[in-house]
Amino acid sequence: MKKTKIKFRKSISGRLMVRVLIVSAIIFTLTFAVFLRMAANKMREEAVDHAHREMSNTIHQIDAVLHAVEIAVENTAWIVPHRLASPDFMYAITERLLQNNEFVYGCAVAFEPDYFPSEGHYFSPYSFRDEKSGEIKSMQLGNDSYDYHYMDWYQIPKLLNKPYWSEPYYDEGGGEKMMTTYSKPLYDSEGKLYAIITADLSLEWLTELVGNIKVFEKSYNLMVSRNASYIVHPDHELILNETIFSSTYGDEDESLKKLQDDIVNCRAGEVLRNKEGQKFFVFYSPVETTQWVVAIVCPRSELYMEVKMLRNFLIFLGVIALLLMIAMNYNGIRKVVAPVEDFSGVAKKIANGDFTAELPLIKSQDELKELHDSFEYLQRSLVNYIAELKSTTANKERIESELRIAHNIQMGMIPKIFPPFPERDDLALSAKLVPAKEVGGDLYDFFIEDEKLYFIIGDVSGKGVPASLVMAVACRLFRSVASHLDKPEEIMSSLNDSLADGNESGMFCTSFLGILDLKNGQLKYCNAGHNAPLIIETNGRVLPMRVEPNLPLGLFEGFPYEGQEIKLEKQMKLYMFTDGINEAENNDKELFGDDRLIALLKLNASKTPAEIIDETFSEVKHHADGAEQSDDITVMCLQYY
Amino acid sequence: MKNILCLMCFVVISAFHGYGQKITFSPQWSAQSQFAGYYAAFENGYYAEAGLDVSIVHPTHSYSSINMLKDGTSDFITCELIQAMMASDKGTRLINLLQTTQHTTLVLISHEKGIRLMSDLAGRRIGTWKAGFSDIPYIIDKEHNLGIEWVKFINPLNIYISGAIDATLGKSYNEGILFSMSGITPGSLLRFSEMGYDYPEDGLYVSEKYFKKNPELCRKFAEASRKGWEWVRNNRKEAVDIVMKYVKKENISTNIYNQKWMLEEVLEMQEDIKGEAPSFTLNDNAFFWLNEVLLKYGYISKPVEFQQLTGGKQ
Repeated sequence: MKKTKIKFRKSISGRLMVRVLIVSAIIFTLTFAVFLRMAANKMREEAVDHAHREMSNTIHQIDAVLHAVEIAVENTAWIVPHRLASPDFMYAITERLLQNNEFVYGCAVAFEPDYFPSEGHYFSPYSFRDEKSGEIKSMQLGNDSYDYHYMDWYQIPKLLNKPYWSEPYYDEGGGEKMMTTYSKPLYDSEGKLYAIITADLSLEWLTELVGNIKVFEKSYNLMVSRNASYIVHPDHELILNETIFSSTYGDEDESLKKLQDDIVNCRAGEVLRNKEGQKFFVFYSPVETTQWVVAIVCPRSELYMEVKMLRNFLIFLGVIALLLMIAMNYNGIRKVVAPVEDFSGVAKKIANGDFTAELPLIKSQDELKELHDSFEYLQRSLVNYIAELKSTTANKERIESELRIAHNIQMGMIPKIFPPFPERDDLALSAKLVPAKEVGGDLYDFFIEDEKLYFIIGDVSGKGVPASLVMAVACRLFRSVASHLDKPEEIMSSLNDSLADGNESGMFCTSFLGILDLKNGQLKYCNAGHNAPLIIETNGRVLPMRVEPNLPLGLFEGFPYEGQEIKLEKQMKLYMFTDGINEAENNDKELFGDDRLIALLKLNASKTPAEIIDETFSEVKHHADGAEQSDDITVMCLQYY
Repeated sequence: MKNILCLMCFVVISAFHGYGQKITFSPQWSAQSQFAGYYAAFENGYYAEAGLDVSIVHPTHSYSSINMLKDGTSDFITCELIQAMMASDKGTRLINLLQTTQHTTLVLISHEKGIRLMSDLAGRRIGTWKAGFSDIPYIIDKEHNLGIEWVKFINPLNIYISGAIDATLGKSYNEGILFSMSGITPGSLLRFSEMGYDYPEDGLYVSEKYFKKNPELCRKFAEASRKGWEWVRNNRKEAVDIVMKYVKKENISTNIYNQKWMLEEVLEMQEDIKGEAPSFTLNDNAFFWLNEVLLKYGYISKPVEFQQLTGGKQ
């Protein structure tokens, strides 16, 4: 037998592999996802720590410089009150601060308006480092165009009564350098403010210091002042022009709110921001001295770069693992499943009649062994069954053959050559018997003796062989008894007694028996539980014949049958039938019925007996509409002229 | 022949370059969107088309645009109506050519929440510009005897952040936006217009003397300036770009976002009724109210005549 090639996807091994693959892939994916999530969290934590550590170092350095400036001012400020008698000495003080502190760019002692009447409204000695020569130069700072009393560095510490670091600014006279000024208010013995001493600090170093923090490959650093202006940013255009919130003005989101809140309240933290479709982590930490904020901005993708690489590696590893799994397991599964294909081949052989086809050898004690045993049992059962079937079939064929013979014998027992009396012109007679099975229990017979027509129609109870035997007996008895008796009731009684004798099976036979005197049309008849024959009158009327019911033949020996008599008018027809006619059913179990029969006969009243019988069978067949014939059908019709 | 050709070339070039009446215009503050209409009129050539050769010169924090008009540095200036009325009272009679702000943009920004009136800050320290613009708050202080300690500043941002003052005056188009961009969430931000003090502010002015001498030129300048503002209203993005050009030229520390939002607020304040096209004319009702208030508290010695201030055009 040719082995059918099963596609991989439809084979058990294929489906098993696919299922294993899917389940494994799901398990791998879930495991990897959890692992990656944990790794991402860990990496984020480390990144946060790393960023804050770096920022903390930088902030310490910034604080150190700022603290040095504060110390420098402190160390100088104490001299001022001792030299108030000579205002010009203030220049010496500011110069000295610069001489002693190289990191300080400028220093001023700015007095309250009109503090020294001799010096006028503005008096603010100021020393600074000349950009070109590097020399320390001095000047008086205040005038109508530069009213320092309203400058932040003067006004805010004055109002706050405490030292103040100004917000960074571009020094117009200092070569556009970004500066910040530390201001300390000075008070007289009565606690009244009379001057502010300041030290200017160039912030160029700050840009370098903050800019040099390198935490991530693609991160950049920035610093904002208390008013959120950028003081360090890779884009120099933004410095002191934009604030960290300029571009998001009007926006409202949680991360922005947190960032704003933390910056205003001088808190460290981190937020995830979305800028032009890209996500960034912003790590930030404040410089407490000035409340400026150092921040590291890192693309989220950069932060998770290692996670991404790990993810890709795990995906690669997963795919390799799955491929290995396929390679290693496929052959194993194929080996396990191979006997199933062998069994399939055996099944096909069995289907083709080879019940002893050799089964595959199964050594294991598993489901396949069970399948093998089942196949073995199936083979044995089939061999036995076929043997039995052969025997049964032979018997059946024999019985059928015998039945065919019995049918022929039975049919041979009834007259079947029509017209039966072609030489007579006073009688037309026709009959037809169609058994439901090979042999049946209906009967009819007739013969003429002494110008008298003896005829009988009957229906043995039941069907098949038993009924046919009774029918055969009844036919033989009719022939042998009728020729000796001339009264129908006597013939009927004789038939009854003979059939009832030893009738242990309780079978019976309904019959209608008649003796028609062909000379005068006098009809003597006797009915034994049979359907009343129908008389078709010459005018087309159809009437049931008046009959005594009597008992069917074979039931009670000695039953007194009552005969009747009628004179048939010329041309009248006598229509006799068994219940196979009126009780013929169609597929809807609807009976042919007496009314339909009478209507049929009325319609065909003028036809010959043979034609009427043909019409009857045709109409019954039409009514049955293919439904199986359930009972024997017999019709006999005669016409007396 | 050569000389004639040279002369013709000069005439043609002069015409193309808008060589005409030389005038100087000074807005009342440093370059920002508050003056976008004038920058646009210049950049779009509206002044040149009107035959005006305009120079825009900004004042300093300590020398106002009115001072520049007085000393002859500028021919046309912008200033607030109150400043114009006070200057007129003091002898520098000004003519209003264009009213570009119909409402007060003055706001009160405080650290404390729930401030509804100035009287809620009685006895407290409130920041105010050294340059002025705060006359009405001063009058309210006097009127209600609030005892407010006024702290003058040049720039309110850092002094406010430092906590040295309890509240500050500001302009809605300026501090109102700038504070927010600096990460500040004020406890309260109150518009003076919401407190019942709504009066026109910025306008385009010229001295009466100049106006009488050059009425046609003044009309042309006002018309071109108005055209500039109308263009700005319909071309806001481009207008901000023009403003940024002036900002950079003047080396002003600001950014495009700040100027964008400032322009939005300035344009809204130009409308007499929100949503309607601006009339650019002075409302006499508010003018008479200001006259009364300023007179009562001695900011002016006699009522300023509406007809005089508007040059008899209204």
